[in-house]
Amino acid sequence: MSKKVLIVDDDPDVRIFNATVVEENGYTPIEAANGEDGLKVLKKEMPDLVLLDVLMPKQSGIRLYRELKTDKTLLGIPVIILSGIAKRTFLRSQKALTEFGDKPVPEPESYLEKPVEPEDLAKEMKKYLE
Amino acid sequence: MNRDHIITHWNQAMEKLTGHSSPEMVGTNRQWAPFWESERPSMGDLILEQRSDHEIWNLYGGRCKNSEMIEGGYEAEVFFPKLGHGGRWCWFTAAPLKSADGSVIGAIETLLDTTAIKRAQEEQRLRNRELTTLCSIYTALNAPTTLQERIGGAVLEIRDFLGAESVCLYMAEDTGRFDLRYFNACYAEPGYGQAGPAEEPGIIKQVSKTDKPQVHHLGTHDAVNGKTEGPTFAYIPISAKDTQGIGVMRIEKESGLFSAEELHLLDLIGNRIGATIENAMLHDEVMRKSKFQFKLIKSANEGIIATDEKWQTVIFNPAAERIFGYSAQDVLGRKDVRDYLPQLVQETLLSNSEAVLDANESSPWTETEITASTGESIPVRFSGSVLRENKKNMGTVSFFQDLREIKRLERDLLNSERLAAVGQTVAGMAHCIKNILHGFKGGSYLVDVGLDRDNTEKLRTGWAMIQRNITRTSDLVMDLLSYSKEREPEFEVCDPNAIADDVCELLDGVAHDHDVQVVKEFSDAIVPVIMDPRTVHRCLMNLVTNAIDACIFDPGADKVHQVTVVTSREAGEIIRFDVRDNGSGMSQEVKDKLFSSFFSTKGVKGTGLGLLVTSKLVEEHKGSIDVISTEGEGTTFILRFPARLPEADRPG
Repeated sequence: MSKKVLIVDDDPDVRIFNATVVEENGYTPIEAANGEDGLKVLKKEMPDLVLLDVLMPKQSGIRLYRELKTDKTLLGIPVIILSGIAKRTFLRSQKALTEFGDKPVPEPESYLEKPVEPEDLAKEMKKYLE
Repeated sequence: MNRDHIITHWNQAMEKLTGHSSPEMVGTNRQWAPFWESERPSMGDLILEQRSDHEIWNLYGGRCKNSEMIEGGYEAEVFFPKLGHGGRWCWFTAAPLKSADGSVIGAIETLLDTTAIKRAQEEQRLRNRELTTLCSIYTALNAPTTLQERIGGAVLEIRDFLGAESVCLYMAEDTGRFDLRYFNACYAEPGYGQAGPAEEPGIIKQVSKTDKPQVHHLGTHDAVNGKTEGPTFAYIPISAKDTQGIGVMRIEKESGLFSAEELHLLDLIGNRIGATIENAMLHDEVMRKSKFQFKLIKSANEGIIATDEKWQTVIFNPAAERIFGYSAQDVLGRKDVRDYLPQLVQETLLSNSEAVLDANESSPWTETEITASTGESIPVRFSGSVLRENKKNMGTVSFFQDLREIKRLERDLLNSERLAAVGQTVAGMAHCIKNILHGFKGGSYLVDVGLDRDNTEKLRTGWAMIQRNITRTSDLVMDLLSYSKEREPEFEVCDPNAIADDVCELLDGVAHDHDVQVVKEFSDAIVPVIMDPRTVHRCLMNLVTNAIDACIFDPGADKVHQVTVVTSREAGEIIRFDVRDNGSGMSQEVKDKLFSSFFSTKGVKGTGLGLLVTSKLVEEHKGSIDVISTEGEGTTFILRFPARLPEADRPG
């Protein structure tokens, strides 16, 4: 059975794009439109990789990332952040949450800024799936 | 006493003085017995033997002299330790008794007990010494030098007066401990000033607390002969009338005890030192406060000008120098403030001085202009008051704020806010554009995949993505243009109801697709007016779109969702539009951010500029926008635009 990749993004276009890249490379895409649903699907499907957006309505990617990386059963799943937000900004917001008393979390395995070339995304996914 | 030295008379007074009766004494030659331990000639005996002055002098020392009253007689005042309890002082005269031919036939001695007088004199002497000491201590304490030197002087006086080994003062600290701070030189020299009793710290604490002196003796004291061995320490509280427990004075005597008088005196001195220290502290406090106030006035950002009761300037701080352009030197004591303060300020101060205001109440801040030394008019805000003490005018004080400075600060603030807004806008825009670019990338990728695989479905999806992102790009550009362009409303005759109807028709399709009803409630009172129809149209489009979205996003699925557009006419030729929905409503957090750029609750669907553009358009049209919203129940936006009636329709 092919490896599962969870795509969390509120933009349907992005989901279609990412899912196509996942499929074209021989993996199975699963989709969620926000952080809240993302976490549910994550726990149920236990994917091999997560492609995560940061700014989303309902629960944001920032929050989902923290929950994933502080959950013993989930923290082994590699995460590729795919966002319009700069990596610097994302890390700063994580640092701020840590300073507010949350548990510190490691940096994401990969960080890609939108717009991303499909070849680059495929190369990045292969790192964790092969 | 007869020629043979035999007592012939011993009167009652002698009996009383000596305790020896007349029968016991008369007929004997034991006249020495009541006075001395062993036999020795009395003055009368010496006279009978007609001894020389020289011999008498030898026997009685300097205390004896020839009587001025009786020829051949002698007088002396002598202390007889054997007499009475503890001895008596006696003044006595001895004179020869002569016969008619001048030969000595006997001698007579008269004695006067002067003990009481002597004691009184001694007392007097002691009192004088005490007084002298107190005087010198008071003088030392009031000397025009530092507190350290004054107390040092007093300490030396105390030591000399008591013949003390050492005198030192322990001062109470804020921490509750005592610090040895003043002492006579001897105390500091090695070998002088002994350590006190082991419990000394406790004694000092107790003396300070109870305000009662204590004496501690180290060594032996023989009560019978009054001899002591080893040092004695007196601990005297130092306190003032209002401040108790300032410290404790320790006086060490190498030998001998402290008399009650000495202790009493030391208590007085302790109070005096306390008062001196208290005064010094008060003085320091006053000096410190006055220095602080001086600095405060000097560094104040407001110009402060104070006058005495004759309008002479007494305070003119650096801020006042900056505002008025005079230097303090030009003004202080030289310039009548009425020469340079504007009429309004003077009148305010005067009315203040006449009014029966509570003491020192300031006038409210008032804006006016002052004329600086250069002749320049400078806008200021001022407040002034008359200074009173016991209802007597002492002078005036006025405060001036330089409004040039405040206006400059306001401008700076506005600029920095603008910069921040630009930064935020650029950041938000970059994010928005990145997402759109990503959409284009995705679209072209899907088209590529579709072409490669000959997969029409992928091709179609990719093409749709590209089209959607073209729309998103044009929306963003349109919003940005209308936001950034300074646009004057173009006024023309139009029908508000017709504009609202057009918007409802345009959006009815989208609404219908999402099961949202669009309801029109238009007022008949509305007639064609002069306003900018494009502004109104654009605003209503934005608000009705938002309202439909609020219904689409509303999780309450069992609701019949409605967007209602209401038009009405308000007094003063105001056209009002209400856009009401029963959708999701807004939280306070969302309401707070409503009109800030690139804030959107719609995810990718919104540019985050819609309400910002709407509020800008409304502002340009001199209208207003209000919002009422309850989370979970819905939102109403209220637009109000001022309108003019066309000439023909105007009443009159």
